[in-house]
Amino acid sequence: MLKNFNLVNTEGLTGVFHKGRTIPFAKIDDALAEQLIGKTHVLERIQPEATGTTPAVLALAEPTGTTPAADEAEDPDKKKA
Amino acid sequence: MCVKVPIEAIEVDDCPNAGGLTDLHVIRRRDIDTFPEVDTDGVTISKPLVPKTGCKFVKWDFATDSGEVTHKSTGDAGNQSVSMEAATYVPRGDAKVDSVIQRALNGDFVVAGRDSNGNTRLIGDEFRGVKFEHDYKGGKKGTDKNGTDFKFSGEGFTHVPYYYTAALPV
Repeated sequence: MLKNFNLVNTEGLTGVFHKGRTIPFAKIDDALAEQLIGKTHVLERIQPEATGTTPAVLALAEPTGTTPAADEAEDPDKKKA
Repeated sequence: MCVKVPIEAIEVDDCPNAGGLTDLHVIRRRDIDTFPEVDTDGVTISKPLVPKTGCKFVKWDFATDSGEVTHKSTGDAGNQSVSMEAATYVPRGDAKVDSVIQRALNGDFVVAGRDSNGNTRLIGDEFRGVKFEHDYKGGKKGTDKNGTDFKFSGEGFTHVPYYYTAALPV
């Protein structure tokens, strides 16, 4: 099972052909996905949890003062995360 | 207008020669969404080719030891370009194969052939596909060749068949 990757754009596809082997999506595990990432458009790495990145953003934002502008600038980052 | 190309020495390692195609995959050129950029060596593509949604490379089976990729330079000095083709043989004729032939005529294709050395070669590119040709012979007696020769060919390319090292969507 894939834990660190998501399958995306798989509509109409059954798998990938790599190094002479046809690999159905069901047989792609994390180890295989590590090799295939960047070589296919159907795999996407799952980003680490947002809880790890949000405090870092806050720590950077706090010393510069809590102006409304800073708060606004922070929002897009949260959405991306 | 001219491109300055450095020429490098060719070095050959001793190793077994494993020729012939092991797999052939076909897609219509119009079904390709993104044709990846070529690497700096001018012959390798290491980024993935992305088909349009719902489209993919389909596998074309063929008789063992009947597939080959060829490319050669054509034209006189100063006017040289590259012609390339992938050829296979499918034994025996049947309605299913002929149905594929019927739909492939006048098609514009990009073909990926994997040879026994492990190299996948792309015949055709983003701007110029290859045409489909077939030649069926029923044979006169039981031991005669009864089947269809398939060929994807194109000429006027400015490059050899690309080496494709990413994964094919199938």
